[in-house]
Parts: sequence; C-alpha cells; structure tokens
Amino acid sequence: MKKWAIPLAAVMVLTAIPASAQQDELAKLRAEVAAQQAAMTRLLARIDALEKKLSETATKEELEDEAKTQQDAVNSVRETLLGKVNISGYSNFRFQAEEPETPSAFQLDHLGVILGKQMRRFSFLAELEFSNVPHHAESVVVEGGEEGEEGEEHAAESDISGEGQVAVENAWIEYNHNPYFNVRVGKQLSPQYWWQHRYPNLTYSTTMPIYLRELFPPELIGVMVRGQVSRPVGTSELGIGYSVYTSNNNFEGNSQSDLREGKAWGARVQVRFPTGGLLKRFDLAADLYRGHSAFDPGAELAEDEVNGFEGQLEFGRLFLNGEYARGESEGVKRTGYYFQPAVQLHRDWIGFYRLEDLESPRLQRAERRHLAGLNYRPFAQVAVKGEWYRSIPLNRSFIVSEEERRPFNGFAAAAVFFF
Amino acid sequence: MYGAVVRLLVAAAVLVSAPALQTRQDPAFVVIVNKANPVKTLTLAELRRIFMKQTRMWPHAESIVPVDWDATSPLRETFSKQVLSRSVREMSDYWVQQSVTQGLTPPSTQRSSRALLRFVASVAGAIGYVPVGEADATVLVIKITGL
Repeated sequence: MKKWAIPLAAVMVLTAIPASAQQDELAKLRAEVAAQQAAMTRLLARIDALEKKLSETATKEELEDEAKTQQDAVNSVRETLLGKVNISGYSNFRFQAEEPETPSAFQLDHLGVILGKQMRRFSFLAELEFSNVPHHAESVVVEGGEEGEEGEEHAAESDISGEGQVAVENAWIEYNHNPYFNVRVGKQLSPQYWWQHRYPNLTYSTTMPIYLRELFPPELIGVMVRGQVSRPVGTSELGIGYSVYTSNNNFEGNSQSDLREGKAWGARVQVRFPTGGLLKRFDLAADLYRGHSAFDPGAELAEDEVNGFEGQLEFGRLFLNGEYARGESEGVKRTGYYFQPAVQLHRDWIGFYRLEDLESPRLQRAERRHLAGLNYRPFAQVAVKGEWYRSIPLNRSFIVSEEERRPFNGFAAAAVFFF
Repeated sequence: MYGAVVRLLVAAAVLVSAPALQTRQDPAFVVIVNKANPVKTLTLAELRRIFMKQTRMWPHAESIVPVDWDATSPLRETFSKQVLSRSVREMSDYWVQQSVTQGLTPPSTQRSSRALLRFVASVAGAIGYVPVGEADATVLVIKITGL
C-alpha cells in the first residue's frame, strides 16, 4: 500500500503545481479585465463629457449670434432706460421742367436729418431740413405773397438763384400716457394725411397737390393732445382717433411774433374701419381749423376757417387716397382737393394718377391738374420716381387777368434715399 | 339719417371682417415674454400694436421691447401676415415712415430660436415669438386671443 502511496503523492504534487499557477493566471486576467473595465468606464465617461462639451461648443456663426443677442439685449435696456438717439434722414434730388416760361431745373430739393429719442413715456423728435430749393411759382406766390404777373416773374428769378435755407421742420416733445392720451408740444406737422406723410420717400409723386398750402397750415407751433380707442373686430380692429390742438396763428414768422391773445385751434377725428382679410386699410377722417392768417407778411390778420375730410383705402394692389378742404376768410371762400388712385404694378413698381383742383380768389388761381407717374422702389429706403402733369386753368368769375390763360404741361422726376 | 349711416358702417365692418374669420389658421408660432412679466394674455390687436410700436408700456409700467426675427426668416413672413396684416416688405415701408414721422426704429432682430429665447429671458420687458415647441423654461408663453 505504501508502495502506491508515495508515487500517488508525487503525481498529486506534480499536478498540483500547474493548478495553482492557472489560478494565479486567472486572478491576473480577472484583475486585468477589471482594470480594463475601469478604463473603459473612465473612457466612456470621458466620451460622454466630450460629447456634452461638443454640443455646447458653438460654431462661429452661433457665437456671432450669441454676441449679437447679448449686445441687442444691452442696447434694448439702454434704449428703454437711458435713451438712445436714433439718427435718420433723407435726400431728395429732383428735376422739374414746366412749359412755357419756367426754366427747367435740377434741384437738391431737400436733405433732411431727423433725430429721434424715446425715454420710457417720453419721445423727442427734431428734423432739420437743408433746402436748396429754387422756388416754383406755386410756392413763391403763397409764401412770398406775390400775386399775379409780378409773382410769376419773381418765381422765375428765384428758380435761377437757387438760394438755400436751413429750416427746423419738427422739434417736439411728446408724453405718451397710454393709447388714449398723448400730449405733444413744440413745432410739429399738421395732422392731415398729406402733411404727415409729405416726405419725399413716402409720397409716390415728386410734386405735392397744388391746393395744399392754401387750405390747412402745413405745420403748427403749439400743443396737441391726441389718442385713439380701438376694439378687435375679427382679425382687425375698429379704431377711433382724435387730435385737438392749439397753436400760433398761421403767418410767416409766427414762432416769434404771434403775440396776440387769440390763438388758432383745430381738431381731427379719424375712424379706422375693420379691414378683415379683404382690405388692408380703410381710414376716414374729418378736420377743422380755426385761426387767423395773414396773406401778406406784415398785413392785418384775418379770421380763417378751414374744414376738410379725407380717406385712405388699400385693397390688394390698389391704393386710394383723397383729401378735400374748404376755407373761408373775410367772406371769401376757397376750395381744393386731390384724388389719387395708385396700383402696384410689380413688387417694386407703383403707377399712380392724381386729379387735383384749387379754386382760390385770394390767390387769383383756379386750376385743375392731371398727373400721372411711376414710382420705382427697389428697397423701402430708395425711390426713383417720375411724373407728367397737365395743368388746366378754370374759368371763374373771380379771376381778373388780361393775359390769356392756357393749359401747360410739366415733368418732374426725383431720386430719393432714406438713411 | 345718422342711424342709417351707423348701420351702414357696421354692416360694412362685418362684411370686410367675414373673409378673415373663414380663413383663420392655427399659428406656427407661440408668443413669449420674460418670466418676470405678469401679463398672461394679449389680444391680437394688442400684439399688433406692440410689434408696430404703437403701444410702448406694459400695464405694470415696464417698457415694452419687441424682438423680431431676421427679415429673411419664413417665420417672420408668417407672423407679419397673420399678426400685422402686412408682408415683411410692406412693414419695411412702414418703418421708414415711422422713422421719419415719429423717430421710431423697428424692433431688433435675431436669427435663431436660441438667440431669441436668450434675448427675451434677459430683458425684462421683452416680447418675441418662436416656432411651436421651441419655447423653453427660461421664458413664458402667453396666450393670444383672436389669433
């Protein structure tokens, strides 16, 4: 028995040595796998972190957007809390030729610089207008007070001189309490549609309707209260707006020399009808003005009353715009109107026609004008426009003229840039 | 006489409003404001006045700061037509007019939802719009009645 036990023990010992080594090997392998698993876990965590970081890493464009957003946010806070002056303006270069006597002229008609600023409920706007305007007969007669033939001669001389001037067209401060109540003080444009939109980059035509300066004053120096109430109707709204103002009377130099007690006053009511999906705009308004005016500089002021109404309608590509006014001073009546349909021919092209009329005994002028033109607006800021017009004298009993009054034609064109 | 005129005007108002009622669609955007803003609802007309800068103050006396999308954005065109009833090009004309007559500038613009959300989240009186589903918890979505 002992003979077998010794070799068996030897075999067992011999075979036991490799088993122990295998266990060590297995333990080593397990340790390595565990280490690899730990490394894998670390790598996966690293990949997760990198992926997360990658998603947060912005492209150059995104960084620019981000910077712009932050800058805009800062600017908005600055604008609303501290106020920021916005500078804009317009340049209007035009050409006008009128037969037979008035010479044709290139004109740097207006260079306007506009400064605007809002501070919470307060607004300020100032407009400086640099004019190098060779005055045409229609404006010289009104502004200079020249009448009849002498006035026309003076106009022709002015056309050639081209003397310029700088004028403050607007300088007002407004308090915006709410939509219903706002107060504006200072020098401001009259509330009628054309006067409010008289800027060359807003009007389709180069020349303005002939009657305008003879009825409502273009601007006023005084206090205006205005506001509007509205309520939703479908997707649009029904709105009623009002303006009530008191101002200096209407004569040249009135900002300094209107020292009289009786000031001018006026009022306006405007209704904005709901447009739904059919119309883009349908506005009607009525205006009145009561004041004093002097036809000639230095002359005695006379009571002046003007009433008018107007309307604007936009229907698809069609725009209709018209104003009518009737004035009376010292028992003498005067009237004027314009009616201007326009159609958008193409995205950038608008064609327009205007019928206008003025009958004014005090100007010795009774005239009807037909005007047709094109307005090319490749951008909202740029307009190139041209028009042809024919002026037809009207036979009225108040016209006292020994000269034969004949129809005449004219042409006007302009290039306008808003900046 | 006056009664007849009023009836005629009301009838005209209803007539021109009718097509809009028939063609109303769900908007592709939601209107967002800063989280501190207590306003939860606006009418379509109020929203229109805000983005045309005709209303300038929130009821809680905070200045309103509308923020718009870049002019080339399709969402801007949609918003412009559905809310402002004007194309983007027509609104450009409107802002030229406002710059000249009122001294106003158009709302600042952003090019992405993310940028717009950041803007609205960081300016107390801000109001903007983003595509449906892209508003996050940094801003407040408000309801627009009539849209």
